[in-house]
Amino acid sequence: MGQHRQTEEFTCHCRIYNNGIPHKVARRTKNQHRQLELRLQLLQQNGQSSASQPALGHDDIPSGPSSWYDENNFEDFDNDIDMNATDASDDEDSAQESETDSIENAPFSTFQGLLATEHVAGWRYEDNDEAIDDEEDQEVDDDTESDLDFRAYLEDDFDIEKLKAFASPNSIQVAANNAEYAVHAADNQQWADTLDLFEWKCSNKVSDLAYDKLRTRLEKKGLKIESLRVTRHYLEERLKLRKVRIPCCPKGCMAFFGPGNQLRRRCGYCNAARFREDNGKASLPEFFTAEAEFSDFTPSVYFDYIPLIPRLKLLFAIPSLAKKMCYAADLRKTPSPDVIRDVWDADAMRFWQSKGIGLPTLR
Amino acid sequence: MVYLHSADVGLFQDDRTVALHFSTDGVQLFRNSKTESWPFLLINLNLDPREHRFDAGRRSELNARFKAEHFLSLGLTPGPKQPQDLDSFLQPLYKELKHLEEGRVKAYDVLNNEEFTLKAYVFLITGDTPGVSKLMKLSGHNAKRPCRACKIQGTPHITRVTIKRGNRSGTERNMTQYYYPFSVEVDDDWEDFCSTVRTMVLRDGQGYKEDGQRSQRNPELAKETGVKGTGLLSELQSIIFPESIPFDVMHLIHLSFVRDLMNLISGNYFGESSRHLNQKTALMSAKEWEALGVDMAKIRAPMTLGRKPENIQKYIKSFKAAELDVFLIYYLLPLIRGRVKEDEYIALTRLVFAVHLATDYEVLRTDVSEIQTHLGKFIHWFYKKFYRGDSELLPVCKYTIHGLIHLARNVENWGSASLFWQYPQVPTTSIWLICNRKDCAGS
Repeated sequence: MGQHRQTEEFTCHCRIYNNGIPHKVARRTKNQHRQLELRLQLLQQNGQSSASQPALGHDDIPSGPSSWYDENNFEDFDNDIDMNATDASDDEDSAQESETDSIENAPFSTFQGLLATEHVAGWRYEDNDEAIDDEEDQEVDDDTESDLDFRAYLEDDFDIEKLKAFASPNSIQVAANNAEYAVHAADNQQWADTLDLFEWKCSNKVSDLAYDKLRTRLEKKGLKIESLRVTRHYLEERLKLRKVRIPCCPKGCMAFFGPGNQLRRRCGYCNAARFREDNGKASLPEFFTAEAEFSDFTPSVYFDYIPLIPRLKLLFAIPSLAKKMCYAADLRKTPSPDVIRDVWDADAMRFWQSKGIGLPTLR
Repeated sequence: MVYLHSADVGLFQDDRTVALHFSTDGVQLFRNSKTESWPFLLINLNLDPREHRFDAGRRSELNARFKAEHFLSLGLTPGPKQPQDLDSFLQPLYKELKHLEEGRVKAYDVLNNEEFTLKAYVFLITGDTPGVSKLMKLSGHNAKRPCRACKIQGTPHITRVTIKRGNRSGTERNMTQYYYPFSVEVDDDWEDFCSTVRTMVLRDGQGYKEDGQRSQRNPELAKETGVKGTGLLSELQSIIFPESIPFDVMHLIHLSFVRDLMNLISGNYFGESSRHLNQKTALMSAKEWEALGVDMAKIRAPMTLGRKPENIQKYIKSFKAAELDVFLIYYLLPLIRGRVKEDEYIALTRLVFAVHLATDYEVLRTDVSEIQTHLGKFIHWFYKKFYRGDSELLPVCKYTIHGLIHLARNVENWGSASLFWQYPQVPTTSIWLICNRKDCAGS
């Protein structure tokens, strides 16, 4: 077997999809943990470690199962620690929220009734007459957004001023997470060199290890380059390319997200416990009653979701990408009656171009 | 809150409205383990699908829609098992799409230096047949009503099987499998076949939703209707079932149908238990088939056609989808000429021609009817040749051959089949194969 060449996509994806990789890898890292644990126990028996250090049982390894699934454990030399920026901040929000209400559970009104009947038919319609009902609908809609991490994310997004900064001539192109994005670096000159080099690393698929070696060499020559971990953290913040961590079943059956699943204590399909604290407890109720009950618990596995909206915003805020996005509009301006050049010329897209949402009409 | 448009406005009043294509597939990350993981991928339809274009004689690189760096990957289910409840993983995406649909997202446009309301819709959903069945909560490709586009009913085929494992090993039992001829008696006449196809009952969005809701209340109904529930993404207002979910050529034709067809032609289709049936379907002798494989290995193909052609007689099982694609389009006809009868050669030519037209970069509008006719005639020949109304030969009529009949409609709706096949999934999954190699090297 040749030497493994670790590409940037690989690391990016591993970082983001850490719990996707894991079963072999996790086992291996689990073994490493086990070895470490045994070594520590041996040391304790030899009396070399202090008595104040707690003994490490198999179930309470300090980093725990969630970190076995963590991204960086299988990168032997890379000690990056993940920044779960979204993790800690939303516990306060979640505690106040109750179980989600779907539209069906909302108080019944004429408008709701109308909606309900048309919901069966598959299409909903605009109703401008009853403003009060609209307000009600708004409330209902806010309730449905009580999902844990998600509301925090939807609120914490780019504002327009920040987006404008991406277009300034001082911005630097950065290839982060496989796509080019620009970062406005003029406000902070120290990042200019780092981001330039990071862009080179990403576009040429240089491994993390090689990048680090280059970095130390450059530092000897007096050029200060930030470490990968810090750079990534900075970019995550600047580009809002954070992942949303959603607890999910350890066997991958379902994610505990959305109406009906938010308060689950164990998987509805394989009965596996959602939280590490519940491991090994045989009989558990299927649901929690409130979100406050599990605010201290640690989910055993996460499904990492990368939000779409910030990336779509960046597509229009960065000049090079915005130009590419003009393709479809340009194509639509030059209709071709004979040739289907792309999806846009075919019947389905022409239907959507001529008709708004809400069709086909059943009335 | 105004999120419901009145009719006839058109979704693309604003040029910046984004159209997206959702694609998913079950992927084995490690070659020899049973872990399965599902990547979710969005493809940006506002980007140019072509790699490059010639402007004033100079080749200018455009940014391809199908380049990995422009994919919007959303996540990957963690495994190790395949997800039971795919919808719960898609909930965050659904919420974001609803958010966009309602016009709550403000974005900044550099080119015009203005603020605008960003809208984005998912119009296309693709996946392989089991993937789509899971996504849309259909019964699957071996069910009584397997098809997402029509309500064709399978013909049961009962075989005696000896149970190999468990307590009752050694005993025999009946196994029922469904196969899908258009009619139990084969229509000899082309006109009759056309009328059979025309009278097929097609599914529509409303019927799908009603069926789904009915079988959610009473799961026993699911077997009759073929719909177990309504998928989360089908609730998006930009999705019309089944038009928004076209058939994927990579899985439908390249990976399953071409292999089956070659096995039928060479007489290797049936397994040990019914080996005698192979003689009925074979179009050439075993010797000829061997000679065909040797001939194929001698082909000196240009680099652009991918890997060097291998002996298909020996290595058909290890052929990748792209190789089977090239085999079907370029090598099949010259290799088979003179080895089969003239009418069989013509029928295969129809298949190759229709698939070639359907997967070309651009499709002429007049081509669509041509694809329909040629595929129809090929399918008609296929049933006449291999099935012949013989109940023993029923396993020939798999779901894949039925799916071909809907291909022309998909091409009409969405353009060339190469715009919505599943090959874009391959670069995403290849990232995972690097991980695989690392793991192998370690052990």
